[in-house]
Amino acid sequence: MQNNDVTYENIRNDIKNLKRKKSSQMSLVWSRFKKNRLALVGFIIVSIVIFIAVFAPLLTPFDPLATDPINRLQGPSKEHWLGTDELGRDVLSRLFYGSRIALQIGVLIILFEGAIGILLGVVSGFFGGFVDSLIMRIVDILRSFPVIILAMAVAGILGQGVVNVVIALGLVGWTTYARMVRSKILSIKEMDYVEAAYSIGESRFSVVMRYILPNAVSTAIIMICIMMPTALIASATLSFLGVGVQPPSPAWGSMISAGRDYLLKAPWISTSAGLAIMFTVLGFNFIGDGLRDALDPTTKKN
Amino acid sequence: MGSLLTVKDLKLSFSTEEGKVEALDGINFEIEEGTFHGLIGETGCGKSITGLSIMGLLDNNAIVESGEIMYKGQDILKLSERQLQRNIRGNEIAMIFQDPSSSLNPVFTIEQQIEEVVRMYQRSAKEKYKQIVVDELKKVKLPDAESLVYKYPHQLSGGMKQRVMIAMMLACNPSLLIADEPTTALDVSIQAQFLKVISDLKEVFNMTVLYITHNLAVISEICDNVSVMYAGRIAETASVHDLFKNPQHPYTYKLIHSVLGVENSLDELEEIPGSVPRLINPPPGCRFHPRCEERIDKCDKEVPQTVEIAPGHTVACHRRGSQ
Repeated sequence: MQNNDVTYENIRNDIKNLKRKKSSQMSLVWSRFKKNRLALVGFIIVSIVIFIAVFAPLLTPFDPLATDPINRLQGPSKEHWLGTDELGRDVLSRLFYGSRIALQIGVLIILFEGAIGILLGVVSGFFGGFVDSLIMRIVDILRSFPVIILAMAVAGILGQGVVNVVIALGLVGWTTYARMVRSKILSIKEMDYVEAAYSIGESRFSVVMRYILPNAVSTAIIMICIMMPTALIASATLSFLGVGVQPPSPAWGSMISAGRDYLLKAPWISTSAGLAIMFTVLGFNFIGDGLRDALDPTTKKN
Repeated sequence: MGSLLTVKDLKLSFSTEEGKVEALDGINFEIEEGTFHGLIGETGCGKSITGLSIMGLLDNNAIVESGEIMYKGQDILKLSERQLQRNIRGNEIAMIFQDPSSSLNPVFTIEQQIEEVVRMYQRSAKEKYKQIVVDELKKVKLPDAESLVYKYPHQLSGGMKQRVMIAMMLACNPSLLIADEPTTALDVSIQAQFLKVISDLKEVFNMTVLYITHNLAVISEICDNVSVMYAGRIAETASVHDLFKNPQHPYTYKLIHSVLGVENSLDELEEIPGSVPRLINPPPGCRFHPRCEERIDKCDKEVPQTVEIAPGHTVACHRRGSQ
């Protein structure tokens, strides 16, 4: 633990942190996060992906939907950095625009399943009894299905499109949140400060809002960062299988699927989309791990 | 002064998987306004349960079988959860718990937590809140209260946290404070500071306190009256002076003489043979009889009646009562 050295620098940092008063907790988390190299790498990867998604029209030289049959299946060149696909569309441009779809779906899924899962998890953990059993049995039932099969069925019924993919995946995804949040609430509920809160006359509502939820926030944040990659992969899988976002939209999953037919002739189509998914997922995973360590100092690294 | 709280024949049990546990079997005691009442006994004798039942904070599997807890003329056991929350907890009765390090909400600063209480119980202009919080912290002799308010609980020591807890409870302006083993988790040197603060409550703020502990020395220093509990029953109740000078119940006697002091050596200590009975199947008659050296024939057959042998001094023992 070289960080525990009592150096002038450390003392000055401590004083600086104390002076910041209310934001001190945030800066403490950030300083712990910064020390984790992998987390920082993840942070940079995700920042790049977000930057590309936001500025895609400025960064791409071609229209991702513009076909050019004469130049189809061209290898990487000066003009087309990552080559062209089977309709002569620029792979790089499609990749950049694909990041928009990936992030959009990812964030929507997280919001959708997070909202349902956290709410039901809190209700389940706090009230217990019949409500708890009911919610947890629903969770058990939903989780007994293979996620992708169920999502395919739902997407098949609802039809294709971004919103329907979100609903299809969120319908199963919330169960993970509900379980995690419930177990966290169960342990917080038994803490002395909750009993102390009741003893000063706090109502059940304010106990939940001021004592239980704020203490479960770190769990929820970590959950979100860890679930983001799962959501990305699942939505890419649906696109790949042809029930997600449909061509000609440049979704990464459907790019892999389309490039599959030309894997030997033009490997750059599937490979570049696959690598894009891999790096984005990796980035979010690193951030999730880093946040977990930063928010919960009791988990020590071996 | 009249009595503030009267616990009358309180019987309470828990239904567990192993069966019914009679946690409290006919508890009687009275707390006069402005006095410190000590409740002493070994672990598991029902001290904390008594405190929690006064707050109405018992777990769901607790069953109150009979008895009443009269507080200012109303029976707490008959109040609804809503009435308890609105009218009793906090503004009338507050409680300090055993472990100070886990009794404060870890995600808020001291100021935010005490301010919450101030907002609930002291009507005042918003700008004055901070000053009130600082004043409350000064009441419990916390040094440098102005900068302390910005700290989080994990930045404070155990003794400071326990004093913050008291400050928080005082901010509620309760009439009765229940302290459930507040010094157990503290270092001895910190205990002294803490006891100084709590004894000030009596002199300066005229508080009424129910002090639950297993530490006889603490009781002898700060309490006016003491009830000795054994296995869910009150063995003896007396003023501190009477109890230590003239203990009547064999258990009280043993308890006082089993404390290791600076003067007595280990050889002089009297130990109580055996261990506290499990309340799931308590011994018949007097619950102390299997460990009692003075037992007589009827000890294991009849439950001893509580008799008053001197004003304010009651004892439940076959040998002391009317034979």
